[in-house]
Amino acid sequence: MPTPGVPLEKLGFLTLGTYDAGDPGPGHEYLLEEIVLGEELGFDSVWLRHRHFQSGISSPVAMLAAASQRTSRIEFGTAVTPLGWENPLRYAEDLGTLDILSGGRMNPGLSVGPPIHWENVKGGLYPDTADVEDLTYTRVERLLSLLRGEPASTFSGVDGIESFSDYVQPHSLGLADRVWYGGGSRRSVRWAGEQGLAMLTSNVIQSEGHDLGDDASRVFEQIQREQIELFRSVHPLGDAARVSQGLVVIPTDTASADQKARYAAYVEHRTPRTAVAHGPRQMLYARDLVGTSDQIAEALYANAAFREVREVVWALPFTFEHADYVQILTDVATTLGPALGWAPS
Amino acid sequence: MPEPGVALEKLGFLTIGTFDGDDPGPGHEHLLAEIELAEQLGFDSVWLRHRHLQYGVSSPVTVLAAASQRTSRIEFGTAVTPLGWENPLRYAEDLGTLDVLSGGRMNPGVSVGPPMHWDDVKEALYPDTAEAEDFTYERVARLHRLLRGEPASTFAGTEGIESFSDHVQPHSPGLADRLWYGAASESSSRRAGEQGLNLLTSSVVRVAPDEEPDFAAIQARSIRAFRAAHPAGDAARVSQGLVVIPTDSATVEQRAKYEAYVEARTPRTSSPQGPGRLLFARDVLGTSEEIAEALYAHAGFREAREVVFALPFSFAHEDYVQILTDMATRLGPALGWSTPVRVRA
Repeated sequence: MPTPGVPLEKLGFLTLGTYDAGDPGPGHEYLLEEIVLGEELGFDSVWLRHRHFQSGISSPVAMLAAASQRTSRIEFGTAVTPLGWENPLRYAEDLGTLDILSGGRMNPGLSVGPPIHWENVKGGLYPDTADVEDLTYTRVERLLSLLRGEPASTFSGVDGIESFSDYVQPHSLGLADRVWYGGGSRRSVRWAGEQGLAMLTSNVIQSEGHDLGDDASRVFEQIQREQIELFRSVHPLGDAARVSQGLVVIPTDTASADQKARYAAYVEHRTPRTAVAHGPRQMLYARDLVGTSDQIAEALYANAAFREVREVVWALPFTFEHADYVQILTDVATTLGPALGWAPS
Repeated sequence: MPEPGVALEKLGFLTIGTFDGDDPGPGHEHLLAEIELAEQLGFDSVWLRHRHLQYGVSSPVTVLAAASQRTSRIEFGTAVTPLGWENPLRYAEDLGTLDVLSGGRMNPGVSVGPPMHWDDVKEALYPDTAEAEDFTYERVARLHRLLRGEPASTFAGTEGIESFSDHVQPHSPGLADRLWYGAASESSSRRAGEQGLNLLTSSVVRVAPDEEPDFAAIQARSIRAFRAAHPAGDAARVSQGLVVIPTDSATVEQRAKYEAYVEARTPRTSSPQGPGRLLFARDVLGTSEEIAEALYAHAGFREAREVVFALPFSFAHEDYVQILTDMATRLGPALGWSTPVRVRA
């Protein structure tokens, strides 16, 4: 658990992969270049968000398959794929293929529940089956069973000149042990822990009735810490269970004056939402951390949830320029990471 | 239409990407190496079969996304993706991403109908929706509309800090015009023409009850029916896909192995097989000169201006290297084909 003197073990970054909808090529190419830079800087992992109907990556598996040919070491992940959009059997084939192509570097991160804007998209997504799709944890359990190589067909053997398996091909050993769940409630992290999954905790969490008082940020940290503790208490591996924290972290050490101003404006614009709980599920947002690496390290060591984790996957802001991401990734790996005791791979 | 003196316009190859179920890595790497080799040899395109629960590529989009980073010119395709396994909306995202990553090189080939071994796989593929899934041509029409960028959501606009589109992202202009349909009968060929799709004909045709089981004649009639129904008429694209094995530079051992392969598959070519009355074409084996002579005598070949020759399923990497090399350096030129590389040089 990182406290001054205990090193941070793993450092990754998370990005949306924004692009111009009228010309999507350059944004996809920038993302690949950022992943290559991430590997060169020694990051342990890169994680992609998974968006639909937005100008962000809609097929992380295809993107990461491309990235697998430009890198050789950095691990990959999704944070998170909303499984309501996926057929678990088809997705298990995609993930198995990607894991083979990348030499076992894939970490699928998942969540379930009805897709965002369900009423708007269900006609396009499931025109004939929307009312009978199972969008519960059962969908995750199906994927897990398929990744483990459990039977998916009642036929195996030779038919004509072709051979058939009764489980998903290609089967990539170890992939099923690298599944993460994006949990933000006591119920979801308990379920993930009971399933033996790894846990992704982000900058959004359900406040579940906590009194926010006059310092919502401290309350966020406290709730996140409690969820991490709950997850580990039910996980077969106990304290060794993997948890990754995913705050938005923006070091400014080598930023230009213009960059600093834009980053500050971005954070300022997003700060009011962190003071109150949102919507029927009482969602609470963490503050973005912007400042010098020293300032950020100090803030993290004071963060109750950060002190519970040994690995982080920091989120890049959504709407910055390629040059900004290069500066941020470089400062994270060369200044902020080392300030937290992390050593590049 | 190729006959002696009229040049074959496009030469591609089709492969299944065989791998060892216990060690899938080398097979996938061999496939990528074969695609790189084909680009160097000047092939216009590489097409992947799309298999499920077999020891062949189950996620062509993922493999081709990887191949997009190791090649710069060769076009990609699937021949064919059984659309019954895909959700058209999710698949449109995968295809759009791949097309953007490859600079507009993707040619999706699809077919419909209930998946193979449907009763064996339906519980794992569609546990809650098997009875409600639509496996008709409407599934292809849905994919076609989505690739064209028609609305698939009833919401577009900004919500909080994020923007939403009402159509599939990324949208790759031109991709919808590169959709191919794998038809085995005159009626499905005609329907593909009516839809304005491109036509993939393979080494299998369906024989109508009152039809003479003459493979080449049936294939030629299907192609003419397709063009007659297609808005582009004679300019509509048709690709022929026989199994073709040139032996010019093969060793004695290779030649013996190839002959045994063809011999084992020949009995099924003499009469329609099974309740679906499927008739298989003979594999074409011999020197490039012999193969060219056989093709010029083939009524189906004479109707096409482009070919996608299929590699046999179960050969070794070095066999594919020999076959691809002979195809590009001897057989192609014997059919009047010249490489785009040479044209550009």
